[in-house]
Amino acid sequence: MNETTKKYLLCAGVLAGLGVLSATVLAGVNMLTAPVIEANEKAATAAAYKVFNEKLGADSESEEITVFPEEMDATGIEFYVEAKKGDAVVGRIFSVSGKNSYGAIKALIAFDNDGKLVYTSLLENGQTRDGFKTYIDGINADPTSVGQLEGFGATYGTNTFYALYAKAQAIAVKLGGGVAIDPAAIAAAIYGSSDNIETVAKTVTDAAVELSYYSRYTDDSKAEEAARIYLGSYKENDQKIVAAVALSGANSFDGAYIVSYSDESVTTHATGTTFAATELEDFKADALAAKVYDSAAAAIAKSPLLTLASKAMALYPNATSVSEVVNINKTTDTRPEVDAGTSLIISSWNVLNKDSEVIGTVYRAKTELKKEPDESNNDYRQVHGYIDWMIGFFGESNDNPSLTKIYTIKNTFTMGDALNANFIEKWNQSEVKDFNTFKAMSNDEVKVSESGSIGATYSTHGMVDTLKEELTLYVSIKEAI
Amino acid sequence: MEKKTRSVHAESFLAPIWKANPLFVLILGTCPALATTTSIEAALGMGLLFTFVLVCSNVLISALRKVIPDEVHVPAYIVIIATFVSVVEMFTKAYLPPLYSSLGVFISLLVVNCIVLGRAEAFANKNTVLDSLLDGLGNGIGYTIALLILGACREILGTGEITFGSKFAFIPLTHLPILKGEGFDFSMPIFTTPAGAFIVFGIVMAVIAAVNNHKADVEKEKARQERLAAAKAKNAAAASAGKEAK
Repeated sequence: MNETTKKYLLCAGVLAGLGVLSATVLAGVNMLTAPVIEANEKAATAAAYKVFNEKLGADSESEEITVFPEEMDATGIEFYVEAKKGDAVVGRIFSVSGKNSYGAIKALIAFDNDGKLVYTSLLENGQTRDGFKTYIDGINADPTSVGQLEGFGATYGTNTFYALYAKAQAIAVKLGGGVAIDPAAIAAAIYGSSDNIETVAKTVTDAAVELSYYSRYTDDSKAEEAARIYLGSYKENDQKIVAAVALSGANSFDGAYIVSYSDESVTTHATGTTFAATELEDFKADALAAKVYDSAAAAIAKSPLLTLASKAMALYPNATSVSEVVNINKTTDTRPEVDAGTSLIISSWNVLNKDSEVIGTVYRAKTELKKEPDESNNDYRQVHGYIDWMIGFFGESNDNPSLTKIYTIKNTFTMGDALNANFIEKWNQSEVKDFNTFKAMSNDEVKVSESGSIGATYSTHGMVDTLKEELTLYVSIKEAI
Repeated sequence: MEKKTRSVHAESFLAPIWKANPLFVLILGTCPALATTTSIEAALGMGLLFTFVLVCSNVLISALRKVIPDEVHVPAYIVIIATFVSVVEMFTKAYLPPLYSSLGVFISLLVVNCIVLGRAEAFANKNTVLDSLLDGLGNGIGYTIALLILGACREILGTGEITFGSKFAFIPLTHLPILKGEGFDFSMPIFTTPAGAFIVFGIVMAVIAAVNNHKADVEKEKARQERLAAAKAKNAAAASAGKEAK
């Protein structure tokens, strides 16, 4: 045996010896501590069950159940127990566990038979920071905060918790006799496709309706939130509706879907009914459905979609997606100096309906003006600034196409408020919206100015000039198609 | 000889407590120090666990220093340290569950703590068991004191009070209000956050640096004065010798 072999054997022997010694010590300590740890956990769980039973109005709980409905995703759910009052099951307590940014989290979450969150408690938190525990405490104080993740420095753990919560809730609803919510199926019913639905919902609520929503994206990168599917439930006079309302803006209804209705004999809508974008009035004909719609519209108005693509869609009542953004010119204005009355058409979107047909084109443009006073002609008017705005074209006519409302991204004109009040708001409220009406209204606005009101003549005419340029583009693209 | 050995032992034990404090002077083990010092009890718990692991691993590594071949000394040290960390982790989980929950992953991370590994590598594998034990104890106490200073500052400033019994269940739960009371509350919650940890750590480091600098200046001045006195004495002796020669 040479020296090298001896050395290797010595190294192996020492490491093996240390390994055996370490394993023996750890086994011994484990034998000592494992029963104590188990007893601690049981005591903590029993104490937790006591609190949960009080919250659920139960007086006992079943053994731990580890069999879940076959079609449901139960990853991360260890078991559940049925909370009972006498023999009746009044709710279920789920034990869930997942990975936090530093270690494991383990929690108990209780739902009633309708799947409504009743109480939750953190059993284990492998993270020293207190933010996550504060979040859990906050949920118990206000259950609607369960989906509100931002802003306290425990985002990873909160997302993990929310994913587990959503799975447990789906199972609770299913086991409680309710209708399981499947966002993908709802999206498919409304949009014809379930692609790009963000499965982690955010919860919102109002006084009357409990709502959560799923974000919908029209591109794979999920860069721009295109629409939201609000899922609401509302109960009145022994009737309960669970319905999904898809919106891409406060006034842009994409469709709706009745998930369940507790008493079908008294309603015209059966469970599973889908409403198209043009059937809002039919949907709202039902009082309970109208309640859900109103809450969803209020929720999206309060927290609007922030992307321009969604703004483009919101200009059309039955838009469900947009094609890729076409950069016509530049995304920013880098011109050194702008002459009076020039415009920069930045981009356009082709807006599509549910059947992927192009129903219109939206242009985003920057109309910029710079007019100095001309004192020699007693013209003291001065205009500086720009308006960054969007408007949609549609219809058959090339000379006088139909137009949508105006969406203002930014308005920096010196008389910007006047432009908004005297022209843009009037246009948005006008029943007739076509190219000629737009031009006529701009002239009306001049008359208003001449009568002594504060006007915005130059900026209004600047917008008309931009519109003319856009029309040229619109016609050329249409003819090319 | 006996006296010299005692002074070496004393140096092994005393130096890490202040002069070579692992946290405030050598800037080692800052991650758990910032993360686990939200309260005095958490800091004390972390310090005690750290001291246990450091003393035990130092002693065992020192005892086996002639057996463990150089080629595998790092994996061998890791196995030894990991064993002691697992032991304290299991005991803490069993007997001090609130402390275990509070310290979380930072107990497990003691395995790769740079002070523990550093003392094994730099001291225990070159010195006797007694010296290694004293070194481990000194570093453990030094680190614990440092954690306690941070924990006390953060708890008092952040919560306005000191709480006992929240991590060590055998102590009755007691709140000692310091910066708050009826009608006033001067607590600043930022100090319980990571940002607060950095602020307190920076201030304590600055104070210690100022004290050490002042001490060094005083010693330098003292040495200068001594040198001056010696030179004067030497000159005086030379002058007196010259006079005598004349």
